[in-house]
Amino acid sequence: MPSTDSSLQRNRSGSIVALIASAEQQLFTASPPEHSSVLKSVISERFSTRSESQTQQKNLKSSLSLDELASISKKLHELSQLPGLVFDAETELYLEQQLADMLGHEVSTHSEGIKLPFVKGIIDSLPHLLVSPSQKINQIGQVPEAGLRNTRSIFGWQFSGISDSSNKFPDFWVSLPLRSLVTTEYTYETVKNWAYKKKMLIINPADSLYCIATIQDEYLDPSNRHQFGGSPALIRQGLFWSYHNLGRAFIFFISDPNNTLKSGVYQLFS
Amino acid sequence: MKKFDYFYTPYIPATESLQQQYLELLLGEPEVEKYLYITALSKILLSLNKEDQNSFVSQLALSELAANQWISTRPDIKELLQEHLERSILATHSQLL
Repeated sequence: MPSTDSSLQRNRSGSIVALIASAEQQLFTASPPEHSSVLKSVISERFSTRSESQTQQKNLKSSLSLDELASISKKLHELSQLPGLVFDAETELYLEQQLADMLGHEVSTHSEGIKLPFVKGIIDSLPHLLVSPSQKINQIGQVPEAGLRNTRSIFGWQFSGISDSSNKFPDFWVSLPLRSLVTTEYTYETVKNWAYKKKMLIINPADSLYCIATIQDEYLDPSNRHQFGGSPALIRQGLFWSYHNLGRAFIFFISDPNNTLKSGVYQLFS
Repeated sequence: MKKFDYFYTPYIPATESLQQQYLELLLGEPEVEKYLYITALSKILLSLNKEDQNSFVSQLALSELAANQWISTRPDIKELLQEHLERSILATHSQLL
């Protein structure tokens, strides 16, 4: 019953908005005036991205029916349990079309004639990238316990000096096995240029979450247990670590010519 | 969703049912994190004297990690925060979901 579900959702959203408004009033009454501006800026800084993300998510949602959403969810979950890393053409097409309808952006298993050797795989949890020669672990805000790599990415240094707030490296990125994409037609340099900062859609089928992330490095796994890697924030917030999911992920290219998609983790089905 | 790394996050009691409820809240109503954040701030500020308030707010302005480390040096605040989070999660879960 979609109308009941949406009215419940509206009531719930209204409740949390009222709770937040009341809590904010209480906070600013309780805190001394000299702290109010600091606290306001801290809260808006921490949660402004969230609001933008939610607006984006609302805008992206298409008018697929609940039955269709349930059917896609079930299909993704079933496919994630199957052995193998690729699907037949019909299944790939079905996923591409359904996800594109849902997200409002073109979703594909290939981009500019290059196709990944997998559509699903096990995602590896990687340490933070060394983006500047002077970067230190204590400069990392999110998930510092993931550690810092001791070498730079194949794309080189991202920042030259000490990184500050204006030099913000994206929290959500993936590493792909780019060398495996080299063919007689595409040299390694071509593949590198093609891949740099390309947006990817990564789906956690068990928790119905999707992540928008950019390619920021090459992935090499001598143990051959994982197909690609994800940033600490991606793994943590995308719940790829959870025991429901055990690292299973779908990966697609997502087209975003107007650069409207923000990196982050979103719910696939509200 | 989905930022799990706020100053209060490590102080969510580690019982399975509470963690489960917290996760359900995040998945069902992501804005609940903002609510928990603001109420946790209120709770801490109300229980501190002026000097400690200044110290905590300056650490919070630096980063979530710095605020978290400041709290870890204060067992009384840790306990207060844990109790507050437990109550808030239970209350919001029953109210919103």
